[in-house]
Formats: sequence, structure tokens, C-alpha cells
Amino acid sequence: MKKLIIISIVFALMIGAAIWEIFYTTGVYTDIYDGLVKVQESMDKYEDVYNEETVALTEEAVGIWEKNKEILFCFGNHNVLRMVDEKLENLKAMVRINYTDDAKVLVAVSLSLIEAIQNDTVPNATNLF
Amino acid sequence: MLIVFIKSFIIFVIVLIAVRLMGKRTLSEMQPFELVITLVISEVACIPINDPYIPFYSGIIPIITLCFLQVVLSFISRKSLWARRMMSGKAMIVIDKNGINFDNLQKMNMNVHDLVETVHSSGYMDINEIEYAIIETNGKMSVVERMTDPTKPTPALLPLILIVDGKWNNDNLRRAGTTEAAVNVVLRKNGLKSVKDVLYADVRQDGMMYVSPKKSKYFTAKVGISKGGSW
Repeated sequence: MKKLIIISIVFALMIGAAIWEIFYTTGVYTDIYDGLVKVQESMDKYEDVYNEETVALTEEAVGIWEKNKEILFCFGNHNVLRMVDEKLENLKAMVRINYTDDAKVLVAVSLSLIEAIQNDTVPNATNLF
Repeated sequence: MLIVFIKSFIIFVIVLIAVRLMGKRTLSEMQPFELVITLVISEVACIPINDPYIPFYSGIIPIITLCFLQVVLSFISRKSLWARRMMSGKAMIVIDKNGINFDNLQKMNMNVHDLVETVHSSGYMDINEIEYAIIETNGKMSVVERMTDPTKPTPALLPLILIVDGKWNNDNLRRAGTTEAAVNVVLRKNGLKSVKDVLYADVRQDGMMYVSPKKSKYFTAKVGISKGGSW
């Protein structure tokens, strides 16, 4: 009986942590996704990506990633997250040096990656089977 | 390297705690579901050690989950006979007063060779010494020996298997110095039409055969052998 109680407590803590992880990571990825959408909209508004609004929005979106990436690395596959890291760093750089086409491509790829990672965070038919 | 070392150490401690919580000390005491869980735990424990890019909790969470399942299933099987039967099966009598129980052997997905091997592993070379044999849910065999007269010395005889599942063992027939025809005479005298009706038959150096038919009671009978004592 004692073992059952101990393992039940550990199991309950683990399930609690798993649920927290889903909420936390989903929240972070949603914020990053929304931020990148705003960046994309801003890029479509102006001819050059190197403008005050786009730079500020890019810094904000990448800033959310920078702030949370250490914890995200604890939960996600490092190879995949390194890809996201690389894309977002490149995006920041491309915006700064006004490489408009590259920046637009990078933001689209980043959006697609973030969406895929978000889908993989929550249990569904695709990632269960 | 240091990362792998630290991960290995932590995984080892977690697996040790998990195994202690599960409460079994030796492999042979495990029920089927416990064996499955232990094997899977050992497999998943290695995953985060071998791949540094997989998060550590990918190894810990399966271990905790499986440990939890094992403790809960063990608790349920203690409280419920039905649950115990579903998870562990039930002990089956494979040798009874009629000889080898063919139906129960089939239910256990065992063949006669498996049974003979299990009998030998339990320390009995001669099926004729066994009154009852039970295969427990953990795979071990429990034996009730046939009563013998303790005042009469029993010679050390090694049975040679002549028939298994209705098929002749020609090598042993030659080794024993007997023939299919001679054995068939014995079978017909005891009401069996052909070798296909025999589940198991063996012969000892003194010519005594033990025959366990598929559908009737076992019997012992003498058969002529020319090479008694030569094996």
C-alpha cells in the first residue's frame, strides 16, 4: 500500500508537470507565432524590410524566443529547436541588412516550423500513430 | 562525455527506485505483465543516454509511467481474482493421472518437446516418475512425484523418446534397438490404432515403455529392445 501511495504521488506530479508543459509551450509558441505573423504583415506593408516597424516587431518576436528557449530546450527535440533558433537568428540578421526576399522566406519558414512544433506538443492522431 | 555520465547515473538511480517499488527481486518470480514492463523499462532507460539531443524526460516519463502501471496492476491483481486471471493467466495441469494432458498443452501453446525440456529442467529425467505436473503462471513447473516403494532400490534409467506428436524418432528407435513394428504391436495391444494417436512415448534401458496417448489414459508396457543398457 505504501508503494502504491508513493508511486501514485510521483505519477500525479508527473502528469501535472506534463499538463503544465503543454500549456506553457503552447503559450510560448503561440506568442512567437503571433509575433511572426505581425512581422509578415509589416513586411507586406513596406517595400523594404529595414524599417522601424518591421525591425521592432522582429526584435520582439525573436525576443520571446530568446527569453524562453532554455526551458523549451528541456522539453523539445534539440535538433528541431536548433533549426528554429537558426531561422529566427537569420531572420533578425536579414531584416537588419535589408535582404527583403530572404527575410520574407525566413519568416514564412519560421511560421511553418513553429506551427509544426506546436502540433507536436499536443497529443493527436498524427503524433500518436 | 560528462553529460552522458550524468544522465546514465540519474537514469540508473531512477530505474533502481522503480524496480524496488515494483518489489520483485528475481526474473523467475515475475508475472508476464511484470516481465514486459521490466524489459520495456530497460529499453527506454537507454534512449536519453544514447541520444544527447532527446530531452531527458523522454526516458524518465516512460519509466515512471510503467512503474506506476506495474504497481497498480499488482495491487488490482491482489484484490481481484478475475483481474489476476486476465493479467497472469492461470496455472495449468500438464501431466495428470491420465498422463500428458494434450488439451492443456495446446491451451498453453506448448509442444511436447517444451514439456520434456521443462520436466528435465525441474530435475526429473523420467516422466513416469511424475504423478502431477503444473505449469505455474510464472512459467515454473511444480511436480507431485509418483509414490514408489522406498525399500526397493530404483535403478538409474534414462528414457529415450520414441514418439512425439504422432511422429517417430528414428534415431532413438535405432539407438534403443527396436523397430516401428515392435512398438506398433505394443500400441495395438493397448487399444491404439496407429502412431498418430500417440502424444508421447519413451523407452528405458529395461525395455519399459511409457506411452501417453492424445485422447486416453497413459500406460506402461514392455517392448523388445536389443540394445538395453547401451545408452
